[in-house]
Amino acid sequence: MLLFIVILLVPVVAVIVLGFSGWTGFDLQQIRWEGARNYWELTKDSFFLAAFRHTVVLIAATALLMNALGLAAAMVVNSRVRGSEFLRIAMFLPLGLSPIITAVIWQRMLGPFGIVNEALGWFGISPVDFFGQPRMAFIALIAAYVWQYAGYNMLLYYAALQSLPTERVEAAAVDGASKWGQFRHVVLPYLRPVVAVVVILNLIGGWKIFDIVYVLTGGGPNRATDVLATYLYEQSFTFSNVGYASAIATIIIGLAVVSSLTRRAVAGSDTA
Amino acid sequence: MNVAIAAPPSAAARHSRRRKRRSKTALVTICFGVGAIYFIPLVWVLSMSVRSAREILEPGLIPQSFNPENYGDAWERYELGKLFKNTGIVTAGTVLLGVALSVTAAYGFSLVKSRFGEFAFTVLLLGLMVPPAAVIIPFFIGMRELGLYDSLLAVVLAETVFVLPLGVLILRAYIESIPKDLSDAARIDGASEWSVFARIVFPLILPAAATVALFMFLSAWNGFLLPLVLLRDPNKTTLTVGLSQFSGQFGSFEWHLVAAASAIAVVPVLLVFYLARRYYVQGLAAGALKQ
Repeated sequence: MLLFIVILLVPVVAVIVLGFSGWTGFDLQQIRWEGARNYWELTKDSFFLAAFRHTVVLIAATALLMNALGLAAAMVVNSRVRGSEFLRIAMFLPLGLSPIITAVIWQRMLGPFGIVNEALGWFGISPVDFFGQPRMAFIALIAAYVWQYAGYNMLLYYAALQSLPTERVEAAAVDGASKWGQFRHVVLPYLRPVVAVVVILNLIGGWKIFDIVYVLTGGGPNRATDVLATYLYEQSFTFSNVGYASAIATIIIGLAVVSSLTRRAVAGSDTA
Repeated sequence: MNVAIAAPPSAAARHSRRRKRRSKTALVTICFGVGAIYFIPLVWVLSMSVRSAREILEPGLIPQSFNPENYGDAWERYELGKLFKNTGIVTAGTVLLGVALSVTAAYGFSLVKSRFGEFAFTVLLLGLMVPPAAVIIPFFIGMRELGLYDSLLAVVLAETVFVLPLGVLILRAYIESIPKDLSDAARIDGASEWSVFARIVFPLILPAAATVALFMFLSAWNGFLLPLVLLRDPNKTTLTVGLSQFSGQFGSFEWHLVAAASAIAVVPVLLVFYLARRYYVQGLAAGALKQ
């Protein structure tokens, strides 16, 4: 257990401590302590603020889509109509893929000769340069991310639906409630605490976004899709600004921990 | 509501039955439609992977020619054998070390109830929250100071640290669900602490250990950031890092080969993932919903 504390806690403490240093170049002799200067710099660093904004937008958009898609798919799979097993497997498989593979595939799919532009052509839409325009690059990231991870939400909602008291739904049906009414007034209130937990899990996962951005857009075009983790990587391993990067890392840890504590608070108040 | 039940099968009821059937057809269509859209990226890569070099700019999902030799070419050209070996070593090492450590640690956590143990468990939960990218700098420095930088061992150790918290969490919950009477009875019969663990607890937690091993397998096989940062020698790179590099270098004019390489890299992991899906779902429920 002591070993655990050492290997898990030391890196976190080290990052927090290094966040107060003006260390550049990874040479242990050259550490200088500068107090909160890195944080002061961060408040003025437009690249950092943009990366923060992009991360939040990305998390919000993907969480919204993944929950809508995940919940809808879980309801369909739970109804056990023919084909629902097919849908379940289709959404499940990408979860086992490396985000790198996802990024490699989507990069070509959305490229000039990719199948997406081909499909847009059928509707008379001229080819879209997905990686040349900020807004389109964002859409590319969101699409790839949702494709890969919506199955995760589907599985969680499906697991929750297994314990849905069916008598209540049947009672509503006997009372003449429509399918939508049954969902709106019986299923959704029942799932509310689960939705809260899943959204927060998406949030925690969202702060980690790195691989898919690094390979799919590389943070481009011109930093338009830079996220916190890619900016951190660039600061530490391209520019060797170790102290500055550690301050960014501390902020990411803080955001992730706060999100997790919210999750525990939610789980504590409701029974999820 | 009584009215609806008491009424004989009327035109309205027939109408509603027909509507029900129609909505069911719509659901089935949605299932197959959305499922098919979901499969497009994978099917498209497979389709690209058997095309000729000229054909990669051609539209459609169905290839005009069939060139399975792309797979052999990609294997040779990108030295996939080497990448496979490195990824295999990292994955096997992480799974073995990770399962061994998380089983013993989880058992320890369940045996010893102390304030220190609670603190250690809180640290463990912290380990679940911290994104790998955020602590990559101390890992890099630490491995360098230990003289492990640019070795596969460094990647194994780092991957293990990141998969350990979830492993311990799942296993501890599982061990605690085993009735205490079983191990107590064995202790009364004079069994040593070790044989209680080896003969009674371990066989019972095998399903949970399989779940944990699966999560560790996926995380090590698919890992990107740690090998990217901790390895420099191109002879030690893993599949993910290698793929990301030659996709960027050659992807535009050798896409058929990159696609074949991606397919080769994807097949083993998807096969394992599909066959072990039951364990994945169990772990998801245990790890995500019941922390």
